[in-house]
Amino acid sequence: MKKGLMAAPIALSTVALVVSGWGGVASTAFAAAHVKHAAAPVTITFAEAMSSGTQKTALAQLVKEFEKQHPNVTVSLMPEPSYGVLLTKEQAAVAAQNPPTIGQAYEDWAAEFAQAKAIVPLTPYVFGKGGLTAAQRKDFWPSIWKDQYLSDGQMWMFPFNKSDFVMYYNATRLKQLHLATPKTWTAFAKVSKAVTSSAKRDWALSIDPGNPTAAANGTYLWMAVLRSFGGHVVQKGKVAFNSPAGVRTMQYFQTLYNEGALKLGSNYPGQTALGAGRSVFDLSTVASYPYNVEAVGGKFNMQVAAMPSGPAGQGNIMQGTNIVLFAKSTPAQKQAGWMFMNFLAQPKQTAYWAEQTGYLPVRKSADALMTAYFKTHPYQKIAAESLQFARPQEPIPGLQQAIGYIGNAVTEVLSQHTPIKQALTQAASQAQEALGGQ
Amino acid sequence: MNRRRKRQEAISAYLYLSPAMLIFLVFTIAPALFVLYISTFNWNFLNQSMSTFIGLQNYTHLLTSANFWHSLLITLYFVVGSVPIGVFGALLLAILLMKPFRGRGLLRLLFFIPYVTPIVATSIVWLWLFNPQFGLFNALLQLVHLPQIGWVQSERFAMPSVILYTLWHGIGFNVIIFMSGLTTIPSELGEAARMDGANAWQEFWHVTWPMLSPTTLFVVIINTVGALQAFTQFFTLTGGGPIDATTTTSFFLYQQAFVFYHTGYAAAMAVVLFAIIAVLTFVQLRLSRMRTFYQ
Amino acid sequence: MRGLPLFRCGGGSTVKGNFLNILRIFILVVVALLFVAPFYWVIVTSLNTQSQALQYPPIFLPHWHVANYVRAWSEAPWVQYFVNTVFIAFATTLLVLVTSLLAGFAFGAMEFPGKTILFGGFLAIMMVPQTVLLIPDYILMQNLNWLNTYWAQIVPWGASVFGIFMLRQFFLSFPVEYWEAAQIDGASRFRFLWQFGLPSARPALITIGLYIFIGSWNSFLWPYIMTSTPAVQPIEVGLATFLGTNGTDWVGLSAAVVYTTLPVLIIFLIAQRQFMEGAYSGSGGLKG
Repeated sequence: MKKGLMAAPIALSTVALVVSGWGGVASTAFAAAHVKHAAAPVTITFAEAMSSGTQKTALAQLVKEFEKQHPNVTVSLMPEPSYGVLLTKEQAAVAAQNPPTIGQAYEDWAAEFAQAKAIVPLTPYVFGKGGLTAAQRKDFWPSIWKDQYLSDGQMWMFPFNKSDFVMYYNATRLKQLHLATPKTWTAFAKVSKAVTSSAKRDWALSIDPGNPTAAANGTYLWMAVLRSFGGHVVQKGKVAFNSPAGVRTMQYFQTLYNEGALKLGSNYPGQTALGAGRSVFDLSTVASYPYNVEAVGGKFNMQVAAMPSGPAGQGNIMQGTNIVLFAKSTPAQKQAGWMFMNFLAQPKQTAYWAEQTGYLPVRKSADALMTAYFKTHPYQKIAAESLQFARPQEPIPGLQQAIGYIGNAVTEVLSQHTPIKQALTQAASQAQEALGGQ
Repeated sequence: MNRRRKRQEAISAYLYLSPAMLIFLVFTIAPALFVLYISTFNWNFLNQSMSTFIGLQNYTHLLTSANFWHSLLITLYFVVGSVPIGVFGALLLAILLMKPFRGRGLLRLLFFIPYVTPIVATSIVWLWLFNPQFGLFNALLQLVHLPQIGWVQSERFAMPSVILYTLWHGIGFNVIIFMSGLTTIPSELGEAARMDGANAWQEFWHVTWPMLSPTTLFVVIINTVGALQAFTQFFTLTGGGPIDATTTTSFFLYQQAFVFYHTGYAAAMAVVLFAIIAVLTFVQLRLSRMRTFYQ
Repeated sequence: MRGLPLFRCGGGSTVKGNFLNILRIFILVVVALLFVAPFYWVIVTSLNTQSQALQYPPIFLPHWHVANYVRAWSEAPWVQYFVNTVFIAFATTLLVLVTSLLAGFAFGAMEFPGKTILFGGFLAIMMVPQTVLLIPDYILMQNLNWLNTYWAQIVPWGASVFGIFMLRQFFLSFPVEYWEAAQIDGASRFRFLWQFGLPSARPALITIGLYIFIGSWNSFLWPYIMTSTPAVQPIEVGLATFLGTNGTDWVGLSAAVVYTTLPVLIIFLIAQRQFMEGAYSGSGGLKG
């Protein structure tokens, strides 16, 4: 009996809690903290996806170093298994009005967060007191520096783990067949045809074309080829991949596929096929290097070269994320958050991060600190040099979904024999809807 | 006196119900009502104050969307492809397993083992088995000189592949439930039928099958609701692809809600999906009531 | 155990009977082997090097390359994941058993106004698509301060329509005379439930327990969204973490699959007799 009498009020109060949660009333109270002196202890949280391998240990080491230099700041890491989960968590945390202090973010995530007023611009921190000097600002690679801005002309992001695409290849096989490493897409197509043999079950390249739920390496590769053919994914805010350059790009993929040189797959199929000695190439980010080495397992000589180029030059796609500063934190947390992201991008730290993880240093002067490393890791130098050609993805909300339709179009054209124009037109209109529908 | 006793009984009944009711109320019913509320908004997930009320627009948008109807078709494909085989295959295995023999316990265990193993873990295994270039399945097809297929990579075979995995993972549960149903059928009924000259099939059709109908109904409903809500295997095996070939309504819902953040739209879809499941269950219950003499 | 009369013929000494019996066992063995084949294959893959795993024609025997296990083991706190999973599964199961027993008893053995409507409402809960509850439930968890805790993974799953349904069916068929006799002895309803209902419902409870335990062990999307640190995460989420962002280490992954699946299999093997017998006599309660 007693229990029943108690149950009702508990039920009521829980419902009340739910209702208040919907309005988001309860948690705003926490935000009303007062400004504290800089030396007062402050804890910041960092939502990140560097949750495994050397990425994890290197980040932990950098945090330790930072805390030693700033004894009043505690950095609490919130690791997520993948970018997909990270995005879900960040969005859910923003929705629940309890975001972390800072977090990794791709360009289109940042655009979405900015639109919802969930993050703050970094302009006052970067250009204000305690910010960067003109010389320091010049030290960032221009393509990376440009990537920190959104279309409103404000700086919203700071660079963290950057990478770009490179070409992994089976040098032993190319040597056996007396073929030169391809430097252009025309040469790449020729070599691909030459190494393909259905009798020996050999082909040139496996890609994951991706889909609207998750764009994949194959999606980015397609975009890279498009750019090197002079095309654009998005131009003046409008979807433009169904241009004549887009048609040429799709024809290029179709020819490779019809010759049996290109195969579609999922879960990093390029790496698996290269590692098995079946395909000769894997076009993917430099961050895949340790995984590819493991897959090859010393069976042959795997080498790395820059991505082939087309009539419009090398069309590399920049990968990796920036860091954003969430709006809900206290001023002291924001200041500490800015100090931490600035710390990570300093030459010494970005060099350490690059050497440990295979990501690329974001500042020019870091290269000087890495000469010894580049000597033993020549592929990193190739990737770092390609950075100047690498273009970040447009910071438009919905872009990931939009480019995912390219993946659908690739699958349709290659395996369903849909006419190229039809597939691209359909994908473009779906992509436009994804960008406009936000 | 009697009225007082009745009131007392009612009060204590509510008391016994309250813990379960409280949990459902807080974590299912209230959130579900909230979803109903969201479904009338162009909901801004990141900043709720920027949401705008749009009435039934999400519903009209949904019901006129080719993608939504396509996802319903895909769902139907999955349900029709997995539930009947899952139910009747399990019934057949259960009947074959009924008579004791040496090693019967082991076999029963082997059928059941996939069910107890986590879906993420086993779908990783199957993803590897399905791999068109390096997987076991294509290697076996090659061995017997059959043409190789793309399995989860191919628009045509992706759904059959997911169905195959789902059957492998779930059929053991059905087998166990059927076996327990079969043990409760009094053996005298069968003996009586045979004395009347019934053969094995007649005995099954006139005795076992009707006696088993409550169990069958239970299995059919559990499997149908499970199939309509299936998500994890699509998430790990196909991601809804290739080109929406495995985008069921559940997956479409997840995609809209958690990948694209069309929250209001996804909420409307959830409401419609709920209605579909409820109607289907109701129809199944009704049909079975008409068909069987046994309640 | 009573056999099905239908297949009694197989037990006879006639030639036809023997043949049918052998055919029956043959079919069962073949199907069972097909069911186990994926497990065999993952073990083989996990014990070969990456290049052996990628060979064609495939290698059907393991080469005892245990380095995959060492590598996979060092890359995640598996023991922690395992402890979390077991704890969450046990706590959820216990909670479900308590709530189901009470509610099932009320629905099955008591009279009260609104019973039919309430029961219909409970059944409808089973049909709510789980994926969509994640949005409001996430916000709710945030307000309860339950994000990234065990609570968020246990309490919301602490009541089960399936469990209530099965126990209702059980108590429906529970002879009324027992309760009448107990009343004459002056027993309270709760004492009656505790002393008679609970022990006789044991088989049904075991079935429900098994179902809930496995369900909890298999749950993925919910903990994937509601938790963020390995300290409270279950194995399924840990395994998903292992599907890296820059490549797929198939052999390491296979090793991880083997030792994350092994504990649940061992638990199941130990408890299987109980489970099976529970399921056997328990779902007899399905007849209502």
